[in-house]
Amino acid sequence: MNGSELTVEGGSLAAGLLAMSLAMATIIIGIWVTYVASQGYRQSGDRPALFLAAGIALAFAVHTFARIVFPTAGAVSPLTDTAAVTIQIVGLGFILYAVYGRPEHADVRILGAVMLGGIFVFLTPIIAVERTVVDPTTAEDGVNGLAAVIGGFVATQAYRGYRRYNSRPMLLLAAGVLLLTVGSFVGAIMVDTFSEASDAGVLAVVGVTELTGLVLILRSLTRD
Amino acid sequence: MAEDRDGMTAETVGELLEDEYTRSILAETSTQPLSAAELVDRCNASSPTVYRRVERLQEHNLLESEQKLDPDGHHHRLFSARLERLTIELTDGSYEVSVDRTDEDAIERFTNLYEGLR
Repeated sequence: MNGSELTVEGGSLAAGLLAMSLAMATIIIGIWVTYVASQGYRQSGDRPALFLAAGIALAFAVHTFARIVFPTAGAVSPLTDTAAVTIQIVGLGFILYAVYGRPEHADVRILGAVMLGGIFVFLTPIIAVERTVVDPTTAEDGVNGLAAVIGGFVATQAYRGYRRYNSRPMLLLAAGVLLLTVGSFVGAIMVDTFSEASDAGVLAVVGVTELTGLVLILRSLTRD
Repeated sequence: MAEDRDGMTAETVGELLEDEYTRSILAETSTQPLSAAELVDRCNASSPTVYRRVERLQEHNLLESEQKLDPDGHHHRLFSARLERLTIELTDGSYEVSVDRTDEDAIERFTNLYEGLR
């Protein structure tokens, strides 16, 4: 997965336009998700809701935003991709903290651990690459894989909430989280491994997966 | 959300808590798990009275029961209160009831939190 090729040569004009509109749609839906989540927090106003809303915004909206904007801005790819995934992992950490960490009792130790974990996740692959222990692609895949594992867990818990309480929002959330974490990871690996697709092809698959995930999450947060 | 997932509305809250026996069943079971017979004793109520209240509380997920095995081999049920905190908010012309229950597991908490964001 290499994000920096998005705006550079290769691919027709049509493909470029498609990628552009995909990116725009993702950014708009991402902002929308952030807005709806923050409204949800204002409505309830307690700390668990704050962390849940912030987690959703970071793990899904800010993450996809960073994925699109960082490479387009021309920064180095392995670093930016790792940064984007780190944002997602920290966001997922916030969600888990809201659920397991009892933020209403203000247990800051867990929050501190989440932050430290984020820094660790961000720095480890960079240092590993720097010291040429692993090549950049492996490091990237590793961080992506970690996000996929945590995301898979969150999706499972959401799905169990749906099964137990027949809660439609939880089903939509589970599907959205799955697409945004496991889906984009597996999709990228599949295309990378089994086809001769270009980086643009990988980006398109990941882009469509993430856009679909965001739409599902937006849907889960809005009322009928 | 005027009604919580377990069917609690401002009306049911009032209805449940105005009843003297319901209040004492909740209070007694909040300190330790008790059987129906013990509740009859402690609440000075008849056993149908206790059973009716218990059923009502369980409908709203405010009381949980667990099976215990006696030394003599009999099963009996012990009840414990799940009510921890109840908030009623009046916003934009509607009452919003939310109940914090004890022993809420992660999935229940996740679902409640997430549905609260909507």
